Amino acid sequence: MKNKNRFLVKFTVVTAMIGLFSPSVSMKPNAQALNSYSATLSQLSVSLLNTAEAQAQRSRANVRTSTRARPATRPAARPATRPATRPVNRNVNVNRNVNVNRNVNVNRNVNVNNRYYGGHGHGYGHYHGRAIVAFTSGLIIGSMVAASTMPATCTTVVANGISYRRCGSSYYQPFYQGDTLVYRVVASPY
Amino acid sequence: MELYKKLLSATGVVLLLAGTGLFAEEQSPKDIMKKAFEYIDSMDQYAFKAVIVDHEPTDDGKINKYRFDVSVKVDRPGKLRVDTKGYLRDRSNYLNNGVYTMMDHGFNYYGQLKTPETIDDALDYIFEKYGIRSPLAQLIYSNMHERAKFVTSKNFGTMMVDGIECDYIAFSNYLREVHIWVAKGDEPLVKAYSIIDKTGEDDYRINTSVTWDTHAQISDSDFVFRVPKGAEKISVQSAY
Repeated sequence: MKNKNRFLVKFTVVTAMIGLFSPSVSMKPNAQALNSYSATLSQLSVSLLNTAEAQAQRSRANVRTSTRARPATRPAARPATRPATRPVNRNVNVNRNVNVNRNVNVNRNVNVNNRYYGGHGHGYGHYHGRAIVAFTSGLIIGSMVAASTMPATCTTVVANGISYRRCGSSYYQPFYQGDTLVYRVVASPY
Repeated sequence: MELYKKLLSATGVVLLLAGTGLFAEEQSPKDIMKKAFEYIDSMDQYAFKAVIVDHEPTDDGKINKYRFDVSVKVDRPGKLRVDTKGYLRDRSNYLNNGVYTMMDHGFNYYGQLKTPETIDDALDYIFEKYGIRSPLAQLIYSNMHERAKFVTSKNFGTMMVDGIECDYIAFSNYLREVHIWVAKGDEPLVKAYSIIDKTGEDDYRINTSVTWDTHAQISDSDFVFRVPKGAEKISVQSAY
């Protein structure tokens, strides 16, 4: 009986020590690991769920030139003043046992086309290398005009079964360029 | 030490270690994503609504946000309806057994294409031939887990999204990061995701939150395009 009690005491002490020195006791966010991804938990959780603040900002449409295509003058590297580490919400429960598969699926020809990840293309873009521009008078025949910039004062006319918009003395034929609605400046159909 | 004592000690150690999480099995991000997309694949009919917010940094350091409200109905193998309202867009897309229709309500124009009959093949066709991207295609394709290719992945643990406990995982390749929140439990549905463009110096991103209706009342008439009064058909040309 005495031996059993001694064993139980030893067992309790040993298990308590193992529990005390267990690695999981010192769980805390691994800021270094998080920062290898460009977005932090705090940035994502706030911006993702706070969608109500999004605004249509239609008034900006006429000053935008191209949104989806990045400007060629954009610097290749991030600015030097950018902080080396980004803010991390240290109150977030983060699993330290991060799974990093660095050699999985290295196929650089896959998913380069935004098939699954693109936005909605709210910019003007290009058509066969030619820039799609905002509406203005005096455009030459063949010019491409963003549908969102067509004045509401233009009228619809149909000639030979084809629909056109007439703005002043100019005619514009609508069509879909991929999933973007655009107008092409055309000669008078009459 | 007697044998039973050794066994008892070993059992105690194992139980303690298991309790510390060292032996706890953690699902890999790829497994979580695969389960989520396989769950989508397992549904013949479903619907969801999504709020998409494009965050577009401007040259003066501000961020323009453009919101889109999207409603999706899927009836496999060949019927799809996507309605999008938002910034400069009020469009309905229909796929009905081999005919793809885009209808712009604000302009009263529509365009139609003949496509393969299944949703997967039709979405591939309109993208590859015409450059048409279907909104939220990643939640519509039946085999998205085979299509998504990334170099690295991470499991950030669990996080609450709209009151639902979710696995928070992320994937990255040299073009973009995708952060995904997948509901835990029997219905591993994608609750939200964020796509971050890595090709610029700023963090252009698209955030999407999803509300699922896996028991939606869906009828054939939901996928039938009826020409609105006065609407005119226009041509669809390739964007390439």
